[in-house]
Amino acid sequence: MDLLNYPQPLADLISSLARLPGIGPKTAGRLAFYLLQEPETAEALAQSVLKAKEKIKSCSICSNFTDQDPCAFCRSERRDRKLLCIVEHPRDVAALEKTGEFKGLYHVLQGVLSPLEGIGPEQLTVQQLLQRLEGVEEVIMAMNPTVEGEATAMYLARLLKPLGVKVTRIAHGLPVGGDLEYADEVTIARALEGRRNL
Amino acid sequence: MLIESLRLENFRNYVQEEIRLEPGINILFGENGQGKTNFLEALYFLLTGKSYRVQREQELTHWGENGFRLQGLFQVKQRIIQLESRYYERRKILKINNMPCRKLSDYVGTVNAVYFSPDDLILVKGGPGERRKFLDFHIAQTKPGYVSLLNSYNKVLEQKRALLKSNLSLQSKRSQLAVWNEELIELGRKLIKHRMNLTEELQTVSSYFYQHISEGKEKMEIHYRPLGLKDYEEAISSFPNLLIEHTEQEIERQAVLIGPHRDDLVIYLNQKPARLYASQGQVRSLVLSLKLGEVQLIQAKKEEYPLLLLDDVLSELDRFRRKYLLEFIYSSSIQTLITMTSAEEMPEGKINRYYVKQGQIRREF
Repeated sequence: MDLLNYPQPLADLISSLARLPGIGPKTAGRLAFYLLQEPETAEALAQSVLKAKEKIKSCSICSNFTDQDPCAFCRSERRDRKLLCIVEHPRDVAALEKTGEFKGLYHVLQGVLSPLEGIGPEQLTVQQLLQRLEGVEEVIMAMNPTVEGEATAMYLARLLKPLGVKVTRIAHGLPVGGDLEYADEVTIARALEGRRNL
Repeated sequence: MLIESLRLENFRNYVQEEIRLEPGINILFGENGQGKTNFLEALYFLLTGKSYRVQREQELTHWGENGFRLQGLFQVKQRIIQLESRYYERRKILKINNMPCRKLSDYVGTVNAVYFSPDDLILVKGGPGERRKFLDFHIAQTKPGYVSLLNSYNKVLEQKRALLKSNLSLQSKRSQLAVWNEELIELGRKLIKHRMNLTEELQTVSSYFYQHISEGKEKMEIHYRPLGLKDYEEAISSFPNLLIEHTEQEIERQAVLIGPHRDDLVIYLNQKPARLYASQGQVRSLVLSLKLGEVQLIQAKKEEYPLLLLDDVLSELDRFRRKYLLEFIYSSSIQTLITMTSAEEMPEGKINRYYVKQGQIRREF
């Protein structure tokens, strides 16, 4: 898309939208035109973006997004404080919460180890994690099954085990309700590796 | 496996061409620079989604066009399969029977081919990287999970390299190295296992071929050297220690010194390393034996012979080796595509001839 064909403010809007994940230049153009044709939607969107940016902070304990510090999870009396689940991003907390199965607390790392991008333990919330281990009996590593996710899980396991905490890793394998024949080879191989007794 | 027809659109010097091919030997002949090799490259691209000559697809596109399309009809286990590779506006679309493939690994290996050109002589005399590539490519064609294993391993390598090159303190480098090493070991072990299995299979068939080509006078052996060691068990058990022992050196040289990315496949001729001792003629026999070994292994796994693509190699072989190769092709009835210049002597027997001139192909009767 040649941005020179558009007036400057419109071109700026398109390039800002195109910087969002999952949005290419064509979609960005379509969204920009839509917003211009729907002034109310545009204003509401602009305001909720600004408001979210202003109100949402990182929880000082778990680093999850919150409008109150500490966040609702960390304040709650009903969560099991012996269980701590470590995830990469705030959106992973939402995914785990949807299950309704997990009653413990969360810790958001804000990323994974990646020397290529200059991300080491100092860039993650590892220090905060070490400060909140009192009373925790089990730490669950729920990072994504990528090369970097595995490395981060291993790094934390090495750090936590000597402190006498039980460290576990979530299982990887076939999606529930999925068909074996549609799963890719790597997933099936992982599922075979992680098989269990019946 | 058979190729019945191939259609090229805006590929290299072909604007639009479609030809039917026959079972048995198909010979593409013509002057240099007319498109014989380009034709084999097109077929190879159609089967693998990649070119062996260039990395960027744009270079394969006919000058002035913004994409190319290749289509072929094949016969595998008595079924007709249509493959299509299209490159358009910097995107590659691969289809089997008109259905798009999400991943390259779903596409590669549907129809197999073994490609042999004079450049392959580097397998014996060149560096270990060429031989690793040869093994990896073969495994990728027959073991679908291998591509992603290799990609993961390379990702870990990249991360570890970045860590070694970073300006972090020695202490934090060391503590992070430990976890990347752990992954390197886990993935590297699997990589080594795959490559050693293939080497063992290849050893059996290729040494048989070599023995015949050398009329029983010489002996070829190939051995995979995992981490520079002799056998699998030894390599696997000493992998962690080797990494620990070399940590200081790795930090100092900012390079990953231990792992299967540095392994070699050593080819021996009469118990001596062929890389140092083999003559020109022996190198040709060795590579021919490796390629025929590959053909035989694909046949064993897929229960059908792959296509054999011989790019300008007949002229490289002496009378005896040439006769041996052609007899092998005839006796196992492998569909073969051979390129040669017009001046060369055509092989005897039943052959189909195609004349290639300026990106056009004409069947000659």
